Amino acid sequence: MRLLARLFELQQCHGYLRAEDLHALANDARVPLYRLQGLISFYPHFRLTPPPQHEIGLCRDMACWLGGGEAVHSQVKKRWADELGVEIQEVSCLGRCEQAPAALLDGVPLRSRALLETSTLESLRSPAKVALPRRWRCDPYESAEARFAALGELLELSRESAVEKALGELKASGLRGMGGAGFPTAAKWDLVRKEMRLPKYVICNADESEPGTFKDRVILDELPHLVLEGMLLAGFVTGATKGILYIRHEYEPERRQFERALNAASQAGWVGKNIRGSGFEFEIEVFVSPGGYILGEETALLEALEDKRGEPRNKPPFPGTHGLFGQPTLINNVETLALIPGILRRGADWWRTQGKPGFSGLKFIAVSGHVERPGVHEIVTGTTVRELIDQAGGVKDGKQLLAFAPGGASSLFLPASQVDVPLDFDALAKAGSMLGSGALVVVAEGTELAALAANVVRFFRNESCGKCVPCRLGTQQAVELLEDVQAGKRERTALGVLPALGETLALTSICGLGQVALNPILSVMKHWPENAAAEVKP
Amino acid sequence: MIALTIDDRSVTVPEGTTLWEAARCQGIDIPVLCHQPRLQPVGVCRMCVVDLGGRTLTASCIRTCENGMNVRTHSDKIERQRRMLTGLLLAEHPAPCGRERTTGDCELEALGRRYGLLGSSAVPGPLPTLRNGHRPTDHSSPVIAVDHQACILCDRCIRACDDIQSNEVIGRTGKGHATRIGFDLDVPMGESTCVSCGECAASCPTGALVNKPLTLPLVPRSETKAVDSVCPYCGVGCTLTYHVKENHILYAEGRDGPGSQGRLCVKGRYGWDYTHHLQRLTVPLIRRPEFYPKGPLSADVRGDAGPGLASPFAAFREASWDEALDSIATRLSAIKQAHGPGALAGFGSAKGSNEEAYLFQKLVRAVFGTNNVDHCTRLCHASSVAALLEGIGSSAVTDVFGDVQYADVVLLTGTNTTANHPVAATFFKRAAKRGTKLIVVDPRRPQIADFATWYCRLKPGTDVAFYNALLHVLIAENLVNREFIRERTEQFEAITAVVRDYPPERMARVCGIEVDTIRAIARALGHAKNLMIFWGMGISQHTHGTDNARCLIALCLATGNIGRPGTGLHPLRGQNNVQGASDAGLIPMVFPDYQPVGDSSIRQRFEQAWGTALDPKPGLTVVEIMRAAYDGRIKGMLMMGENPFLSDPNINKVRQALSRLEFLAVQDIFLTETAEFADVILPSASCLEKVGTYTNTDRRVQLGHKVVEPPGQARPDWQVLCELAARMGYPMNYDSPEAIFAEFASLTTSYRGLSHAALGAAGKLWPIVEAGAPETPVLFGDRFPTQSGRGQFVPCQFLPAKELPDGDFPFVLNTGRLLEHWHTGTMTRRAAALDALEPTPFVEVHPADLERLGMKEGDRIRVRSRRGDITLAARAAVAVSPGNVFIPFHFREAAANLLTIDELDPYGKIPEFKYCAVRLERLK
Repeated sequence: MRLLARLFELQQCHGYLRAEDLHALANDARVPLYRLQGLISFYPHFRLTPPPQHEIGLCRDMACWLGGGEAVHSQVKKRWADELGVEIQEVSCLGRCEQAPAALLDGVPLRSRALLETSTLESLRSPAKVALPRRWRCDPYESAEARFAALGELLELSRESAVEKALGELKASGLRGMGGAGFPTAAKWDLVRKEMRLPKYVICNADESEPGTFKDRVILDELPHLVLEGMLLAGFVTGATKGILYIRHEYEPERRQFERALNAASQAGWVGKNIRGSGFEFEIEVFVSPGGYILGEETALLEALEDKRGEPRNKPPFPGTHGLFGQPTLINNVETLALIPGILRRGADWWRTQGKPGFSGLKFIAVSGHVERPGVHEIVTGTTVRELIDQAGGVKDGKQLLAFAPGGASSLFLPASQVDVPLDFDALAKAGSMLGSGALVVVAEGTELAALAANVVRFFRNESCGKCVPCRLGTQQAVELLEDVQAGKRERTALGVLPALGETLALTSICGLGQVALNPILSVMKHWPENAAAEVKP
Repeated sequence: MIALTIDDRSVTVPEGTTLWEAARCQGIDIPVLCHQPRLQPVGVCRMCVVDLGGRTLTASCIRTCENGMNVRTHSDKIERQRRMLTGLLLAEHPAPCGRERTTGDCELEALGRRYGLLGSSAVPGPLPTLRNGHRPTDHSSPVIAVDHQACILCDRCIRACDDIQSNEVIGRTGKGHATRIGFDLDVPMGESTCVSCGECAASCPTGALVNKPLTLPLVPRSETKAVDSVCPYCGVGCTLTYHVKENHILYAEGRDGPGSQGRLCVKGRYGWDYTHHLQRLTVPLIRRPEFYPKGPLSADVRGDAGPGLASPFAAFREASWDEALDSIATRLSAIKQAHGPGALAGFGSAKGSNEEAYLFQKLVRAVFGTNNVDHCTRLCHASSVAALLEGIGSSAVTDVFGDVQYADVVLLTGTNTTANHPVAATFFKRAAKRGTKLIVVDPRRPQIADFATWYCRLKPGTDVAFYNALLHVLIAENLVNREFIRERTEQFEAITAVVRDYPPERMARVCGIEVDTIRAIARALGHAKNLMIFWGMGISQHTHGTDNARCLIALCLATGNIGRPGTGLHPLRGQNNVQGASDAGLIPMVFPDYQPVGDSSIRQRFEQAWGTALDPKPGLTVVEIMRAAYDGRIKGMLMMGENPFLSDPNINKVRQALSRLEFLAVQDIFLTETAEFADVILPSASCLEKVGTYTNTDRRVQLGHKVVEPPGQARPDWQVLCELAARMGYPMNYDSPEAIFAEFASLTTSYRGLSHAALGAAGKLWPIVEAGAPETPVLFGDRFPTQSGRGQFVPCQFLPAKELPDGDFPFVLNTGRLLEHWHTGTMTRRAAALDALEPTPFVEVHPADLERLGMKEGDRIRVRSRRGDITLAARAAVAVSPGNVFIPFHFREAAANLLTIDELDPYGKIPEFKYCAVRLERLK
């Protein structure tokens, strides 16, 4: 963390990284120059040239593409590209999909259209007004004073029985990780708890970056105290003394929100040494990611925390036993941690009764794409896609549903005929997709699905770390193939290689990115064979 | 042990074995591109995937075996993936790539053929060529061609550079499909901190990093003759294999050996083409009458004496071997007749073999009749040898450098290891990265200080003050090993009394090291479980060089760090055979194996063996012989591979001394600066053209093989020595170097059990007293070979250097070597790659001094001492501290030794190369 932190500082000083500063840093930190080069060329946050007066980032990914991003962004470029001191670049999903098409102006998120509605960029630089916090079902606390009671309750008990009670409730609740993989949370905690080596770490993965996914952002913004308490509980149960919130750099407003909550909790004595006189110690640090979707992969995230290029590790070993600096490390998603105080406070039974019949628990889902009111919804598990689309105001402009992806960009597209599938880990797996990162992307009729899928494959190509051969080269091949076919440079039959290529990516890539990268196009080819054969237009 | 099933076979393997290794042991070949057994696996190419029955396949190179695993290494499903991965890589690959076109061993293209994706019978690949895949080439390095398009990002070069050589230059740069390998901050390879060791090119599976040809075009190994041999440069003695075609070396590769473990540095890997150089001596030469009286010939050697010959060859005529040898024999015999044996002397060389060193000293002693025989050890570790013989009864290293892996504290002092013993340095750096504390002491900051826990920029020449202060703290804080001192040493009280006057508070000012640092280092030495001390010329080349070494010996004795693996004293030997040449008796006071000439019983033994009476009086040393030549007391000399004109201090005096010699015969491979003063010059075979043994810094005796035929009429030195002896009336008949070795070994204890046949591919560490006896890497576990069997503390007082800076000559000059060059540059400046890397002389000056003098980097500058002056380019360097300058001594056109002082250490008789006063003059 030291090296990246120093690079951040250096960039802060001059707006960019100067070669002489890098040489001095290498000398001082006693690291080879190539290590610094590896970092600064890997992470998009760093720049090697003086910054412009204004930096505009335009999201090119799925939700913004569905939201007409291409047209809007070409207008933005036309309007601003020639202005002195303005630098425009296309960026990956900003996690502001409900504002699609979305942009970033000098680090401040905004609707891209705002850039067309203004005559000066300065006027846009003040952050948008934050909406009043909503009431969420998962929050067991009526008031700010009541917060941290789940932890407080455990601290009253002997450590042994407190841990037993907490793990028992978690296990009984059946809570699964909400980051995408759905690993049983209690089992993960228990694994880290049983490791004898100290120190141990708890990491909250707030690097949510998959197109269509922004539920964690809303949780960080509106329920940071639950995330904090979840981390504290995790530390208490596993025996970790250090927590790290790993947050993407585009979530600057949310980082501030979390830090406000952290300060408040520290002042109230819920964080630090000897918490509330119990002897329990837990420090929390916020680490801002230098950027890149791949950092959401838990071992890539660990590499970044160790000042390395964020390239996923070969597993096993898993972070539970060999995580940060080789130490036992618990890594949980924001939502997972936020749900835990409620479960412990109200009991596993309460949690299990939250779902529809046959289902249990609550789930945050980010809804984006062609709906009237995109945004984050807290649903009871088992809610169908149709019901959720209705909650979001229905398909945009009264159009017919064509397709949907229930779990973000990496989940497979399903046809409208499956709209009654319940939103649940197992039900979606059975339907041939996945709950993934909890992001429902709605696609209305009239959309060229192959072009949409090509957009998603391009995202994975852009975000591939490049470590392993199948992902680095396979995603590039797929993108070029799709673009060539679209441009008429190759026969459509050339797409016939994609299933075999997809198999290689799925079977041999080191991490999930490569394993799923071709899923979107393959699902389109499967469900809409006529569409895939049709001309592909991005 | 772990039990698992691989391809239906039950297999048991040790814990920690990877699936790939386990399969390999079963004879199952799993293709892999990113892994080599000597590297830590990274699992990035995915070619080695196997099926464990899971959702995905598993990279076998990085997955360790677990009990009950059921592994499938080959199936249609797996082969389908391997073929696709190969196709993905080939889609961007410029087949045939630079490796396939040269050594013909591109591993990717081999896989392409295996999967039917390349070659005449190729079925169409699964994927077309990528259109935006064009990546650049980089030809900036003189030795390695970089083709990023052929790079498959297997990371093998990165690990070779990092984990094996610890040079830490190469890494991945960029992200995703745009990822490339990059050097430093992604600069061209030739502009980076790359030291051209070539380990990356040796590891690369494709044409991404390929050696450039140095002689003929590179061809596959199957078309070359591979000759296993030993590197001719430094004392590390790396083992290598030369690939030869049409009597030309095409390339060299590291060969696994106990010392170097297959590693090489830039000199070893790329510095051998001197042997094919057009300037090689190929016929005997006799000085033409018109070039008498003798003197220097070329402008560089003449110095201020005006323009010289464009080619010194013009001063000589070709002669037959018979005429040349007769002439030498006649002239030397006549001098002996007229002035006595003491008027003759011989310089051998630490570059020659043990056999030739033995024969040379035998010739001088038994035929010339004098002990006036010496060689460049005098300029190297003579003072260390003196101190070691006195302190522990043996001048050899007490432990091998590879045992640094067992040391927790290592003192590196006066050694620029990465430049002068580069492959040994790789082991030091790796130890440091694994937690060994390095203490680096040197007035000029050596690169290895980057890896040090403490770097001490000692004021030049204050070593004794510094080490006495350390000893003071060790004793004052009772960090010494009382038991060891009591049981194994003598004279501890004497040294205690002396170092009492060296408290760190006082010495800090003298040596420029803070009190706290002195204390911290002393404590680290005191608390070390295993302390190992390495040193080089920075210790030995002083008028108090012997005292410096005595202090280091005292540190080891006082802390009881000797006689266990990872402890002890290791003076890093400079030349490839400086250890062996000394062992063979190429020094004036001792016969082979350090048996004093003055000891009558020993002398009798040699008189009997050699069948002639021998001189009981120790002979003169190198600088003393030059002085005697200057004074006219030495009149005739034979030089075998030695080049005192550049290597000895105060060259203006050497020039006169050489000019005054009545007769000088030189055996060498080139017409050296010294040979310009010769009456007769004999063309020698180079190391690469003959058989012989060489003893490295570890005491490892290794066999060098004949790699190529010598040019023209050049002959191995041993044959020439036999011819000369016979013509001077003393027949020496040996039919091979092996026979010479047998005679030499029989007259020693240390080599007695050795023979060429016993050395094998790996060589043997001496002492081997009985044939077949085991090696002893660590010496003196029980007793020292001193008279009492105990180690001797020898107290030393701090004495300043002989010539301190003053108003007229305000700078301190330090001289030394560069990574790319060797000694007087005779070989390396004729090696194309090395010459390209460091072509010209320079003086390192601190930027603040440069600025003060109104000069900048690259300016021509005159450096003057009381003895001479040279003009060369200034190089700004923070490695030297203000008030100090450094000049490498390899360059004849600006010979550093024109400036150095010919003052000697009273015991080792080594000159003070590391300290004299100079001034810097701006050129008008």
